Amino acid sequence: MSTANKFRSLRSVLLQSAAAGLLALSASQAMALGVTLCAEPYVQALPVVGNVPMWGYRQVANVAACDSGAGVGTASPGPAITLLPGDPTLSVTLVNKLTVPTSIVIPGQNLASDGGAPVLAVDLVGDACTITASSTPADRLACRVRSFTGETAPGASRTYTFNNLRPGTYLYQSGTHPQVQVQMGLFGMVKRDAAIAGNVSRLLFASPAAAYDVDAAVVLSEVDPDMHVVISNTLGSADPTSWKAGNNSTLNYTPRFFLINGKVFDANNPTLSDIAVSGTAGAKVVLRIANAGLTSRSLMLNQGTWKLLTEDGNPYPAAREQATALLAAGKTTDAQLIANPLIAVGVTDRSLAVFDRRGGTDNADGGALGGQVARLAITNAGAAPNTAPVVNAGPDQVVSSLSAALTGSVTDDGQITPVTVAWTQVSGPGAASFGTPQSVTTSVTLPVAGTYTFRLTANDGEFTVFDDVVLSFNTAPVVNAGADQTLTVANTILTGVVTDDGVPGPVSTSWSLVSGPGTATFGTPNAPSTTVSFSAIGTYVLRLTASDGQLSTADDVQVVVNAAKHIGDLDRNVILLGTLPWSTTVTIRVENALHGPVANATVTGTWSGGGGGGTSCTTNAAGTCTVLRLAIPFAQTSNTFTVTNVTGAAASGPYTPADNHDPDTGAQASNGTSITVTR
Amino acid sequence: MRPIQLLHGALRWLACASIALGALGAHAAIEGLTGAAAPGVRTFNLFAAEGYVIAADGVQIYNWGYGAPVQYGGTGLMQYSGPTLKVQQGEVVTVIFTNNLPTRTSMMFPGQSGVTASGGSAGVLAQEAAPGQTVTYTFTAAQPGTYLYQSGTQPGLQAEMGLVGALIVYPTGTGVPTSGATKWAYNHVGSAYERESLFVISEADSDIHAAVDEQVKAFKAGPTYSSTSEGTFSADMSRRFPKYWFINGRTSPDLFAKNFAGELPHQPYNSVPRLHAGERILLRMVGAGSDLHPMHHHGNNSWGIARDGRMLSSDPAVKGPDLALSDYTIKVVPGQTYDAIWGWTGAGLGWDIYGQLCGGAGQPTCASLYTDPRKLHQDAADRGKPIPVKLPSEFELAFGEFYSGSPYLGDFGARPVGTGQANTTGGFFHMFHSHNEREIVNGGVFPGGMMTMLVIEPFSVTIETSQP
Repeated sequence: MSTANKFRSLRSVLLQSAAAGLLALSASQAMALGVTLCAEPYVQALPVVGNVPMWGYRQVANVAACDSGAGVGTASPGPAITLLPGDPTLSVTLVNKLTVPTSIVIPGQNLASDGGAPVLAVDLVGDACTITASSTPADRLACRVRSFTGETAPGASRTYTFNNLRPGTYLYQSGTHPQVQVQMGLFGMVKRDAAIAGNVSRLLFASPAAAYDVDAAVVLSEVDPDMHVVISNTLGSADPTSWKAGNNSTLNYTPRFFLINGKVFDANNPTLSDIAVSGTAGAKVVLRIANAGLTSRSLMLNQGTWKLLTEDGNPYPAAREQATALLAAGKTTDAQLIANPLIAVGVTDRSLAVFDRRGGTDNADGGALGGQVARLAITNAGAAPNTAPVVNAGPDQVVSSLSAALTGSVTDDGQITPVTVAWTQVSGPGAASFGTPQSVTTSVTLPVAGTYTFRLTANDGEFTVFDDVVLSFNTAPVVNAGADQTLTVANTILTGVVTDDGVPGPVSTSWSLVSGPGTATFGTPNAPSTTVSFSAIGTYVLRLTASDGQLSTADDVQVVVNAAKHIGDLDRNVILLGTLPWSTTVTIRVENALHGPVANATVTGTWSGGGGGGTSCTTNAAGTCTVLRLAIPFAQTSNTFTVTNVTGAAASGPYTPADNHDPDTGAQASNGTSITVTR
Repeated sequence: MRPIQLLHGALRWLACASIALGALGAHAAIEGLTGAAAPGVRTFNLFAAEGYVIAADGVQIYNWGYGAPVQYGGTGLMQYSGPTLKVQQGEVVTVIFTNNLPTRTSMMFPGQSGVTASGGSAGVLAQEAAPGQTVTYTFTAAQPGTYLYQSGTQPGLQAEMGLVGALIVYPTGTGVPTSGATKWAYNHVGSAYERESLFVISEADSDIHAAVDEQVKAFKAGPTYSSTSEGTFSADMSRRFPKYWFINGRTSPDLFAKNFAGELPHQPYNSVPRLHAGERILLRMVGAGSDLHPMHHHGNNSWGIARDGRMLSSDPAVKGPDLALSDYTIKVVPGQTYDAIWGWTGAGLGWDIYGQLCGGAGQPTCASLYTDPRKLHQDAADRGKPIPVKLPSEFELAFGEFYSGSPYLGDFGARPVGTGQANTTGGFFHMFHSHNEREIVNGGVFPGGMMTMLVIEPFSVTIETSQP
């Protein structure tokens, strides 16, 4: 858990928020709510006229499920779709079981990103048409839009993805020939709450003033039964030849039944129309009101007032306290009222009711109260107040592979509804995919290495709470121990190179001997670059290991120490006899590759001039021998001896003059090959 | 419609317009009942009954309405619109309601919280009274403002039939003036006004009324009918097509007639909003019908300050109506009330509306003429200026009934021989009407319907006002 979220988690609840990180994500990275809807005909029983053909939506698990159970559970309005605040993407898979093309739009929101282009046609069943630069005025007149977005053909299915849905209350509806299809019943409510960090309430929009505790849908609609019959018999027919007779006009629309949430009020069975609201006394109740009919309605409370907070999803600058709500066709508003604090625990108060003040309270037959009337059945749930779920997304993780396990936990008191959880991605260099995003534990697959923040969100029907977990991706250190070496002396410099991503901590390195005939002694064994010396002739394998605390990597280098000999020291001595010609000796030490003495080696050299004799010698057991140069003229102030070869003592290997060295400094200093003697 | 009715309508328009205005002075304030008041308590006695209202074209329309017995300050008849109930904020209001209709009905008080009822039986929207029954409703008028009351039983049909009325709650909060010409509609100075007028806006489909009339007659003709027999009456409201449009239950020009005019026994309330220049008039709009009406006033914009009895405000107690709207068309919504403040000062006219010509050669100084502080509202630049056009001869123009013959307030001039003079005070008349022009007719004949005048009276005319 990140530090920031630990604080939040101490608060035990967190509102899901439109955090900056979330907004910064592309839509594809945010979680999408998937809903599959069958659009299909069904019949609804209405007073007096009996069964009326309707078109409606039915929510199913998958496309294939539309093939069975047609018309059972199909409704207008369709299922209410609720998106979590952290869930701005809605993916509706529309399965068209109608006889005509249809589609989904959400007025007030962007068109589906994958819905496709609007469709132009001569009429519903005519040839598609396209307007081009050469189209005549007559062509242009004949070529009319019939769908605001791409269509789903009869019998086909199509997914409409709505990105970045704004918070609020909206209607979804058919975007194809809406003047016919919407009044046939193809609409429903879609809603999404807003969130403010640190605010635990449910919010209509991102303001504390928009807080509420419980909501209920109030969808107004109308039915003109005569028109429904005509459309059902023509456009709704399986015989395409009858479609041409279809009525694509609502010019003669005369609604005769007025519905709230798909029902006309039945005075003999008023409970059927009740708008159920369950909360504790004093709860802030929000009625999400939408007018899906084609007539303006004035919805009224029989007593008291509500506070209208929004219109078409947009907040008012200040709440409008009213007894009425004017709803133009297609309009939505959110009306907040306080549940009667006097209701006893477990009791339902039905004294509040809403009704249309424009005469929509009479069914076509008149008579008793009907139409758009519904009581608010506000039940005092009475139990202990619902507490928010406690969410823990688990400790922050450092992972080194592109798949990881997220192990969160959620505890809740079981109110208001069984808690639902969802994993979503807050940030990261790419879109991760979850194995089972609706489970507290899930696998997650990362597209690329990097640092990701994932969010576990829990919703108990009232509170939405989340916690974040950060996954840091760790790559192993990269180690290069350097190129293999072949030596003629038993020491060298190792130049290893180590790089790392710094995760989870600074990298540490060490040299070690893997194999060899002797020992290897490293100068600074914890540095990638170090000196090393060997104890014996032979082949060594050395290993440079780097660890970042989690992952370690090693690389080996082979060092071959061959037998060879070289000059290990040149020392001089001057023999002066006044101004007489002078003499000098040079003592040579011959060493093997291990810098041990080499006996019986013959050193041969040359002098730079003057004098005689003294050009070779053979080493003793200490590896040294001395050449004597005599009678160097006094006028000659210096003479230089240069070793030209070392022979003999074959077991010690070849002479490798490049290895010659001299440990001395000052007067005895030399390069191991030549030494200048000065009288 | 029969030709005789059309003729009657046209004659009535002329007759009422000229007769009515002569008697304007007596009842310019909002008429209504103040009930029986005791400290903190106010009690009304109301009933619902049937009767016929008269449109200005002479058509009689069968109506249901609320009324009050004579002994309780009423007319004893059902009236359209119902008695205006005037109470003070904070009072416990009791309405003792008796149903004299042949069907079940009730009273509903939208916008009032905690309404309790005794007697009758519970309905879905309100406690209901069967024929002959009495229900007593009680609530506390907690918030000032303009409210609708209406039937909560079969409200689509019963509101159409006329069971609507207005409730006005006057504020009693800190700072509300208790004397003087200026009053507040709400507990904030931003709602101050000098005059007020009520507009209960409604419309009727006379065919529906006639159909119900027939049903009621048939019901009452039944062998077992008694005054407590409960009938069920209905009409297909989905086919509703209104033909008459009302303000305070009257159509124009009847709405200029005096309050409680004897020839309109079921329509006692007129609609003649009057004020002096420089004053503010509170327009209390009540959407009592089932249609929206765009009520348009001439002469100036108004400020809409409240809807449904609540100031348009971001913080009512502190900021008052800070979200008020300036508009020249008031959207009257069914079931909704709306308060707007309108005023007129002559600003921008470019001449002195009082005709006090001054400051020029041979004229007195304006300072010496402008001693009446009530006239100081007028633009200083306009004082003393004559109307900047040469007025045409009265022979060259067709004058409206409300032109006094002079462009100056309170003044008169020659009018063509034979033209009526409906303006007996020299006031300025600004039409206030539904901007849905088909609603300013009576049975299809213009003028009529939902149209009155906002009258600027000269200071010589006293405009009475009263509150409970």
